[in-house]
Amino acid sequence: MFTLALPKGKLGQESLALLDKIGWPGAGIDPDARVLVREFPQASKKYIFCRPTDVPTLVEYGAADAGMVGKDTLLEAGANVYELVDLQFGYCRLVLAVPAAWLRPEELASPEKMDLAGFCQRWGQFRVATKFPRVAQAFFREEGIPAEVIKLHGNIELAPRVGLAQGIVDLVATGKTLRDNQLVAVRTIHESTARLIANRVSYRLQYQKVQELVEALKKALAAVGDPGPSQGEGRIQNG
Amino acid sequence: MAERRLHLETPPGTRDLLFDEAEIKREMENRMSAVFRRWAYREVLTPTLEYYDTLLRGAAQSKDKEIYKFVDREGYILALRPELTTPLARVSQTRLAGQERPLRLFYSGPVFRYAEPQSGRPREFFQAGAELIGGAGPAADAEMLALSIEILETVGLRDFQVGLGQVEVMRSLYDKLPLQAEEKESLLLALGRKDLVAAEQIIASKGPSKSQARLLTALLELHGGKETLDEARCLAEGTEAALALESLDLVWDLLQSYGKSSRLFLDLGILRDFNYYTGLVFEVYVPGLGIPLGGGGRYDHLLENFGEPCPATGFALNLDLIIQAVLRQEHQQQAQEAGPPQYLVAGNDWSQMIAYARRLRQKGFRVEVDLAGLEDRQAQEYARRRGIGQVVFLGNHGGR
Repeated sequence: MFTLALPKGKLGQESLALLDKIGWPGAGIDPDARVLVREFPQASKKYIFCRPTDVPTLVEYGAADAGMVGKDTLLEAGANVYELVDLQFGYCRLVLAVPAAWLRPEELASPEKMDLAGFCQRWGQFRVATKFPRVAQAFFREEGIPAEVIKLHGNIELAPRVGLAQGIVDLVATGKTLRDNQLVAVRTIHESTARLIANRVSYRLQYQKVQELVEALKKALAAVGDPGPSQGEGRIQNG
Repeated sequence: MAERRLHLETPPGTRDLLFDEAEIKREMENRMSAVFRRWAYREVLTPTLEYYDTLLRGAAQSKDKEIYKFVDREGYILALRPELTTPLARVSQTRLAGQERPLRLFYSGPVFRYAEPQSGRPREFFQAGAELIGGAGPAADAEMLALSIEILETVGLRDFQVGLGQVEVMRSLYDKLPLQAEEKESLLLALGRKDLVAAEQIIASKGPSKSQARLLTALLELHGGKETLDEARCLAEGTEAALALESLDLVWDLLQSYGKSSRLFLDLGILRDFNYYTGLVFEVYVPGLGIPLGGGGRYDHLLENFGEPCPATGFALNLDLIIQAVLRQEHQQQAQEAGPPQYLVAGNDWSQMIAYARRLRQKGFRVEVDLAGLEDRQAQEYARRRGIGQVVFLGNHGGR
């Protein structure tokens, strides 16, 4: 029995659509149904549906042999798992965003190029709210900016408005949430798509099965058209 | 929340071993040390505390963040050992410097690693292992492999496999890649972590010639029994990797003489700590346990940090994980032998049902074939009542 951990929600739907294409169980399965574990004895496969952030954990500890999860979640989890295929769906950016009103006109003109250290210094202790404290911490460390990172669990965009933080580190798919809250992305910290990950032991002991899955996925993705890095760029501009 | 009462807790990542667990551990260590001694290995106990300076010269380098450090009253940095290979290298080159080589040493004791908070990883755990100091060549590599397998068999572990790699294969190809040092570093990091997405990006964007990149990925993706090794040798013919593969071939033959080769598979993607190992490497895996039980390999450059250069090879096994694996194996066996069936095969086509049940039974499942001609819904109900895990309904009516 080969066990795959899949995220609930939209990413789960897209994962199942891709699995359907390679002949795995997929069609007609609702990732958000109350059934958390589905077995397919004839195909010798099992799916576990869980919160996206739990996928790396299930795979790391071997409760699932493999899983599908966003790169953003993977980075934040810091789990010891193998990352095998870029599944190309679920594109989003992890950005640092600040209220537009606090930017000077010349900064607003090209926010991604503005002097970040200088901006942060204006606040004394710069505070940022995020669901991704580990990634945010690493980003500010690399930039050499002493920032205080606060973990929130939802509606991060609220933090600057209520005076909790001066900036946020959050995921952006279309940019609508940022615009609605008068926030401007000033740095892209990571670009993210979904990934196929595997447990370290399953990868070695069930190598054939994992490799078949990898090959099938790569073939299916290539058939969709070859979206190299350039398409990713294009999608950012749409966003 | 009530105030924490530290005096009643143990620090995170540490725990008390009570009764059964303590007995199992002691029993296991006894069995292991009997095997070690039969193979002419002698026990060495080193201090829990070492100078940080000592540990820095060993395998621990790459795990610096994980080392517990203290300052003693004279201002020197002390550290809790995160592994035992480096302390044994120190002993070999100091108090045992005059002894004839090869030295055969074994150990068993606690090691300490500062795992990240909330990672759930233990910060103190037990390792047992052996070092063959001054042992060069395939025969020494084979002895390490065979000994580690014998140790695990002796403690009662049945279902484990050993993955064999050879970092020289990777190194010889990697040295030739037309990449900047920094790019090589990140490629290595990516390959070590098995972040194949990042590795492919580096290879694709920095453009090592097609043939080099192909050979590299083809070799790293090879996986399987002895025939895979022949395949690898074909692929690498005429390159520097060929020599390293030839010695692997010899090791495999020797493992046959030890009667242990059925445990082996080849996986050149196993790199372990690439900057530390210099030849054959291996890792031990148990199905269902998400973490390797241990591993080892050749490290010909460690000993020169403490004295004369000297080849060496060794392995370390995680005792806590071995205990887990053995207990798990016993539970599984009990569950396998007792308890309700795992499958109910129902339907309206006897020959199909019987054939299906047969296939499941061959895979080791407990399977009940319905004789009452239950409809799908009735079969589901019956299975729920009896606690049967899965219903397989074969036939053309009564679908869900």
